[in-house]
Amino acid sequence: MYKQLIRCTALVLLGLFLWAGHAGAVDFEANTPAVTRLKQNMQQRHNQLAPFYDTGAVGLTRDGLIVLRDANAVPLSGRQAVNALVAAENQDRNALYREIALANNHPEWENDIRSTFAQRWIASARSGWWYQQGNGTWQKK
Amino acid sequence: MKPDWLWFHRDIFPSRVCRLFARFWLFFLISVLSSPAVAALPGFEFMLQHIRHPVFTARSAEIKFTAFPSPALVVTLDDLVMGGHRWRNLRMECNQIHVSRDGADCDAGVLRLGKKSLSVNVQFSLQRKSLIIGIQPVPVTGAREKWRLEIGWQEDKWHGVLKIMNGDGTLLADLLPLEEKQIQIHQARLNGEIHLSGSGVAISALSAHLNVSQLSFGDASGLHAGEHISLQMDADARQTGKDWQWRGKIAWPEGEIFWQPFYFSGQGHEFAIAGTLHDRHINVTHGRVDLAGIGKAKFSAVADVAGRTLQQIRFSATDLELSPLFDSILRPLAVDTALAETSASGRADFDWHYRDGEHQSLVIDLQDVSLIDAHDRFSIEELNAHIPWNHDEKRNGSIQFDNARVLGIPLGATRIPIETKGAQFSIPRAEVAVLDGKMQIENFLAIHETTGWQWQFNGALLPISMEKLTEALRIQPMYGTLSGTIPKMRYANSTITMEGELVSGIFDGVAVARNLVLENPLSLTPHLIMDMAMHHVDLDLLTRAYSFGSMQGRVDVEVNNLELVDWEPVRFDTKLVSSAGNYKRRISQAAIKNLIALGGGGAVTAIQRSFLGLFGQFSYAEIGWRCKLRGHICQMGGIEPATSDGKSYVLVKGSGIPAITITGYNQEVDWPELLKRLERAVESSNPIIH
Repeated sequence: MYKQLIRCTALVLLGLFLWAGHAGAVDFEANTPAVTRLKQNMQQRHNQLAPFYDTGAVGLTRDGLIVLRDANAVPLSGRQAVNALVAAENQDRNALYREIALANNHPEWENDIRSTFAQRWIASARSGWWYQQGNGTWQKK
Repeated sequence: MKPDWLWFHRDIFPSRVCRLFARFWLFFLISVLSSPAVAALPGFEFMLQHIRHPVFTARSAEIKFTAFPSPALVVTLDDLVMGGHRWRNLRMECNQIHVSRDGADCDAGVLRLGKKSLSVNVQFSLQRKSLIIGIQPVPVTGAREKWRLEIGWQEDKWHGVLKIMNGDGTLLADLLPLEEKQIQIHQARLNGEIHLSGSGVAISALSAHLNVSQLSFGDASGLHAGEHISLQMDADARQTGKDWQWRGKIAWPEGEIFWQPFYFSGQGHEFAIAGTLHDRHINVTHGRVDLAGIGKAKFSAVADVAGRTLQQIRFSATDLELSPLFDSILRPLAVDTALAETSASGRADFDWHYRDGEHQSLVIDLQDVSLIDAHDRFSIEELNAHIPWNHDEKRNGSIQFDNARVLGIPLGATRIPIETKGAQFSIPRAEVAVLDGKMQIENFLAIHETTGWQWQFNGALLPISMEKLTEALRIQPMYGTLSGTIPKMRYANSTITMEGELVSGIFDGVAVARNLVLENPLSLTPHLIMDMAMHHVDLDLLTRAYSFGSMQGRVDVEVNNLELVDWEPVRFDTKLVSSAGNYKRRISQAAIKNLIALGGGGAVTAIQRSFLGLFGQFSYAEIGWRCKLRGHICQMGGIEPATSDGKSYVLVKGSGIPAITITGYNQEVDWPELLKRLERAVESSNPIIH
């Protein structure tokens, strides 16, 4: 009797957990004007950033942003421009996470969305690109 | 005066070196040559584990002299600290020492500094009272590098000259204190002379003329680096009584430097500075910076050297070229702001005074300046401004421009008087030309808080054409005029909020905007949130303006929870209903056709369709339309459900003769698609009725 009660309770809890998980699913593909605009902007910028990902000058951070991790891989005259690209990209990325959270009517999900995107960016990075591991160290993919 | 914060001044270096050299030589003569035991003494060797002196400390010093087969001397030093500098693994060998009662010469010595080997020759003469040390790298390079130190003295006065010919700058880099070595000098070539003279233990004058070429340096991160740099440096200093008079000048004709976040290329920039040193205070009486392509600046300053504090600085620059100044210095500091992708041109003057840890005053003058955002969020042209600021007192200035554009809205020629005081910036009253109307600003007050700038004002909008405004904002066109009072507009934390209501006249009705919030106005994705209501709008004016087909009557419109993102609606709850009251209620055939397009196929009954073509106009009792927009989906409704199952709704309720009732069947529509459908219906002179 006692075991049955525990089993039943466990099943109910499992069901609630699965339901909650389903109910709380994030729509990462939310298609609002803001998200569309940001994605377009980032897509246009990607062509400018790609060579710096390739050389390892710019790397993907564990918090879903990018950083100028090895300025020595960029000619002196180009380092300021890369700085500006990185700053603009990070502004858009931060805005993207915020807008997706807003599109899901859950602004408080922003950090979770950022974490998921950080993993997605790293997973979709090309071989040879640098990314920051969970412990903060840099790893070449 | 003995400024003991200068390490070399505590016990003066050349004097001490000569004195030590003389003492050593005396000791050498006494102990080696003058001794009767010299025949039996092939040499000597002694070690000193720890030597302490006011000038230096050394560890593990070993001095070894051998007299046969020829006099030779080896001095090694594991660790030498002098004036906060540290050197390791010093070794000097001299295999051919010529010793006489007058002095000693070493013609073929070798000095090892870390990994470097240098050929050293030393000539020490008591008669001439001179010490000459020549240093060349081993093996001799093609650059014919040579260092030569000459020290001479007469009684208490002395003079030293270091002559450098094609000197390897990395040698000096190796001599830098270890803690400074995060910046590595990769390459440098030095030419020039450094003169020092003094009396007793004090320096009384020094001068230097150095040319640095092929200078490259950098840190591990690459965030501080320079390449292919040439520098011409001149400096001299002379003691007068208790004070020092000094001056220095550096010219930078070529090369490039990246010093996060700034980048400069040498194009003939010059830096000159002159001043005095008195009682631990450096007083820069004349400072000049000449940045080629940008302009010139003057400065003066007072610094407490012992406390390492800047007590005062005055800086002024006139007629600076804003475009290169903005590119090189201002924009890199603004990468996280709306100015990050702005180009600038024009000229600027600056005058800045800083004292005792606080900014005292700042005056900025701008002449014919233009600022243009790459994303077309804002621009301003022919900007002329006089912006004075004082820490304690109120200052009056002005800002004027010929034209500007903010979020696509054009602003005309405007002059704005300003007042500044402390951390406040205010505009008592101003009028800004907006499109064909004006915006009156009163009691504008901006305050810099720890969270950033905050401002607020109240004012009024004098009639602005809605057609022009909506065209500028690239949103659905509207007609009429926008005017009204602005009770209070506030900006804080990147958000503009409007308290009260903005009332305007539109299509002979009244529109009221309230609860207006604009978040991140200058970002890529501004959010506008507001509630809006329009009362007693003339349908005839409205439908004629949009070529929708004539409708006569009056409507009330409520748009609650309106949210525009990047000026596109993503949310609203709209309700359009016929206004209360007696007025003519007629609807044209063309308008019916367009309403049918809005409501979906089968919007009129078969009977109505049969006589639709017979009449030009129909009577109606009531019009109603609702839309609840979420994302891009609009859930539509009308005056009331048309059927009990709620799958259709009444858009137009007929009345009189001939009357027509229009029913809507589209309950969920794609909002952008609906707009396209309306546009097509309006543009088409002969809409298709299903």
